[in-house]
Amino acid sequence: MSLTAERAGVAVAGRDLLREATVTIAPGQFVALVGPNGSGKSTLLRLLAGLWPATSGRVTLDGVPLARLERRHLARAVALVPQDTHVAFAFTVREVVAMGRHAHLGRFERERARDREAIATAMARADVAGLAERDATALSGGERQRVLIARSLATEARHLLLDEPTASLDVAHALDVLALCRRLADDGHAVAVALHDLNLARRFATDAILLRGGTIMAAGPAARVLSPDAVSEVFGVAVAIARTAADTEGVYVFSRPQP
Amino acid sequence: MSPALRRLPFSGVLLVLVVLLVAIAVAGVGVGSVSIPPGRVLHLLAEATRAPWWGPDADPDLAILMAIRLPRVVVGLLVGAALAVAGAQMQGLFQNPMASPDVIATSTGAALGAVLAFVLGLSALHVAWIPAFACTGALVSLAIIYALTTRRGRTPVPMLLLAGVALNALLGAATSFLISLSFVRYEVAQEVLFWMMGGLDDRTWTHVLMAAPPIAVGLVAALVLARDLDLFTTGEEAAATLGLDVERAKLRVLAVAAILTGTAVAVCGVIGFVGLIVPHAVRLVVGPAHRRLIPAVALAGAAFVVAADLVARTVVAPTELRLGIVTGLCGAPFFLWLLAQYRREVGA
Repeated sequence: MSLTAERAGVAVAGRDLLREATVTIAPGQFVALVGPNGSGKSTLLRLLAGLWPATSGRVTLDGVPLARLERRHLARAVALVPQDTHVAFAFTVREVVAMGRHAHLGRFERERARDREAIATAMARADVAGLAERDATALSGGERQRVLIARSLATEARHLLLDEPTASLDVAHALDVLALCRRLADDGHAVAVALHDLNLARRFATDAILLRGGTIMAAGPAARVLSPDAVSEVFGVAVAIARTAADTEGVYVFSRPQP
Repeated sequence: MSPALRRLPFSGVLLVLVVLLVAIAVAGVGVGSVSIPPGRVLHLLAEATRAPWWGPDADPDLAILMAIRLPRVVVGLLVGAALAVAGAQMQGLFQNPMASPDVIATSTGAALGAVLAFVLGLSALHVAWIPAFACTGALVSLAIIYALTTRRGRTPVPMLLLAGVALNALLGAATSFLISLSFVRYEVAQEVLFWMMGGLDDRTWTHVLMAAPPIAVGLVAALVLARDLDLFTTGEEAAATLGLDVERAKLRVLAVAAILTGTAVAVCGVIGFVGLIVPHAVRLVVGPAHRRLIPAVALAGAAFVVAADLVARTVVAPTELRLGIVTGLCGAPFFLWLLAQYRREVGA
């Protein structure tokens, strides 16, 4: 089971959003996608989710190009949690999570025991079981993020793609969501997460992809890819490492280099 | 912290709506200048299957019931169900509680189509030209609004309302232009004005036959597409990753909403606010899931239009109000209330 981009590019209206991206997201990995604004993180996620077609190269799921797969088939293998978690109507949390079963059900089929089990498991893992009958429009940002993660788990897809899941969360909820992503990777999911916070990326990710201007600058184990030198180079900032006694890895402290 | 949502059992809601609908329909055929009590309505309906409706031996009440009142009520039921379901579909597709056939100019597009068919003289060749043109007009205006206002499945409220205002003005002006061209022929102008004002007066079994098949097909299709609409609630990209062929689903929903709106306008002109109020009220009771929402909205919409027509006929009897006045008096304040809610939501 793997999701792979081979020299894949995305061009929109003659402008390259992503060039020659070669990426594999495999089970057990938590891959952090890191880079400045406009570097192509979201584009890469949409490409891997099959939302945008590759205009050059190709993206494959277990060797089969995404373009040849049916939407429903793809939905059972790859799930994307969008950055925008707004819910338009007052669905209950359980109803939102149950939408994850769409690709498993025929048009007139009702939920079976198998579906109910998948929904319950997904809600338990994302820690939203207690919210089941709540109005999904009235949740906090962190709760809504977890609800949409639960929905992507209900699809039983092995590949989970998350677009800046911590963007609107306070620090406690950000830690919860990323710890959940890490647990899912440890359980055999292939997880890719676009992240802005480099310290969170270093702390939770197993692997990392560093992007700039639509090009992958480095990819591999997080500790190597997110080295101070690489980060400094790509983001154009000075990186210092602050360590406390108990903390062997330390945290990055950023500053603008003086001209 | 919001409390857990409490909803009434769905089968109970449906039962209440069916009872309400039957009661309103019986009242609708019974009340008028000659009043026919409910028991006699049922008796006459049974008799209508055996006896001729008019002639020297026929009961005069039977003629009133079968030739005047019943077709009017049946057209009202069909139109109410069609407009309310079209409104529910639009609100689901646009992800926007203010979408409805009149607000976003779909009804005006349908009216322009119907007027065009009439002015061109096509309606004299075959009655089906009117609904065909009305549905086409509805589809074109709906497609224009959708293309203008929606990006990645999200439709900002101000964008939707402003586009609706502009398109309503444009299509209304085009219709007025056609009317001024046809004023030389008085009877044409009068018929055209009917579509602009909307109403159920003088509807006959011809109108029932014209409206019933497309509306029946549209309602069934709306039910078939119900679950697809649920997925739009978190945006188009999310819907696609959950396994929905978004483009195909959109086209289907737009086509069905256009058929329902177009057919409704073809038989009774523009009747405002049904597609706005009814889905809202029903959503509060059965929740937003479209598999429950669509059938409940169809029943409630049918009941609402027949009830509004009953009010229009009786409140200042013997004068009849236009049906559009009654739905407007209910709908416009409701629309303002919705705007106030929206303002509170965005904190403006």
